[in-house]
Amino acid sequence: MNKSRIDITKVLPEDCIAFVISKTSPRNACRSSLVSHAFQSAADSDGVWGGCLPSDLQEIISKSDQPSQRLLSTLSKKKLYFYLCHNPILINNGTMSFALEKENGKKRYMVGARSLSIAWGDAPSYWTWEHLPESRFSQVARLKEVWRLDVKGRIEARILSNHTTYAAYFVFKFANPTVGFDKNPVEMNVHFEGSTTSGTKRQAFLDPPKKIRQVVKDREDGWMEVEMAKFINESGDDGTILCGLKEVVHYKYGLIIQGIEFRPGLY
Amino acid sequence: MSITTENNEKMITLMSSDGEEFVVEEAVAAQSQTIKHLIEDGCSTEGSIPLPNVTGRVLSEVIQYCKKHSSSDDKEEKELEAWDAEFVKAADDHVALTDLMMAANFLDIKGLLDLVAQTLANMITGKSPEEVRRMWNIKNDFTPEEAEKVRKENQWAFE
Repeated sequence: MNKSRIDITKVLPEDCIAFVISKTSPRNACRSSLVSHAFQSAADSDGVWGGCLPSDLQEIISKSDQPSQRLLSTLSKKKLYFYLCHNPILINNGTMSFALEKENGKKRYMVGARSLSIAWGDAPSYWTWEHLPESRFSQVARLKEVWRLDVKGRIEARILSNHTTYAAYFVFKFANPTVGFDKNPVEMNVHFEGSTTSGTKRQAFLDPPKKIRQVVKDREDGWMEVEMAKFINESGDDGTILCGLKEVVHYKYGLIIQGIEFRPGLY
Repeated sequence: MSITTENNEKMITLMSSDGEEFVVEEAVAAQSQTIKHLIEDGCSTEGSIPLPNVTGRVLSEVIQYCKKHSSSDDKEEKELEAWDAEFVKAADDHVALTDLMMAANFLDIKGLLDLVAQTLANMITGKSPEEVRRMWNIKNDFTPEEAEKVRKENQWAFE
């Protein structure tokens, strides 16, 4: 038999094939399962997908509620990976959501409105807190009326994936009617707490007039988002990332806030 | 057999599956965790260490790798990376790489195992299942129905 015609799966044991596949990417691992039965068995194994999951996943899951923990503990590593890509789980008493980025297994978080610091947020004449079925959190913040819109969010760098470019997104929608968000842009600012540099500042219309370039995007979950800024998380030891969104001059109402999402870049 | 060189370096003799003997410094042989444990257990004091799973041809390549990696320190990381790249390039097809991987797996040489696995991984990255089969002579043993099911389960990866 010509040696070069040897079927590699007849020579390498499954754990070696799994080890090779684990060094590709989640997408390539899924494609590999269609090569042959031997490849499928290796490509679906815990050996491959355990390496795609964050090393501190158990600690994160332990911050979710009991039913979630029970469900997640029954899944194979591959099923767990895709479950977490498609179904954000709530952690820290339901104030934050955690998910995975499908392409690379990096960590995605959303800080819910209840964990944001919203100026006048506890004054019922300005903001109300309500349940919306399309929100992953039990409560969202609805703006009744305000001049001073000032929202701040924070997240610890150490819980994010290392050596990763992240972007912070303000996730919101509008009630009907809405006033004030098409006339004036909001100012957005993202920086590391205590850092001497001023971080990134940008402006955006949340309800852009037609002639202005569209920076607000529709999300698959029925909400809208605007990118506040990108930042790089190196080793997770840069403390806390602070995000702010502000427009304090004009009268406005109708904004509904779900939270601020921190999403890793795809590659 | 255990002899000592002029530099006081202890030498170890390894014997391949096809009876070829290789005399190497202990520090080189100990790059393999498997051999290191055998030495610690006193298996090197009487004659040569038999390695029934590794042919002489593959073993000589493995020893080349171990020599390079036992004589380099961290400062030479860049140079070592370039050397590694040349080393796997010399193992010019997947059969040679497969042999190396089996040897690295059996001998438990983590650096070599990572290197070879990454090389094989790079070969399948971005390829379709059909291309992987052709490249590595793998028979498609799925029925059309099974293939359809697997494709559906992994739909995202084919989009």
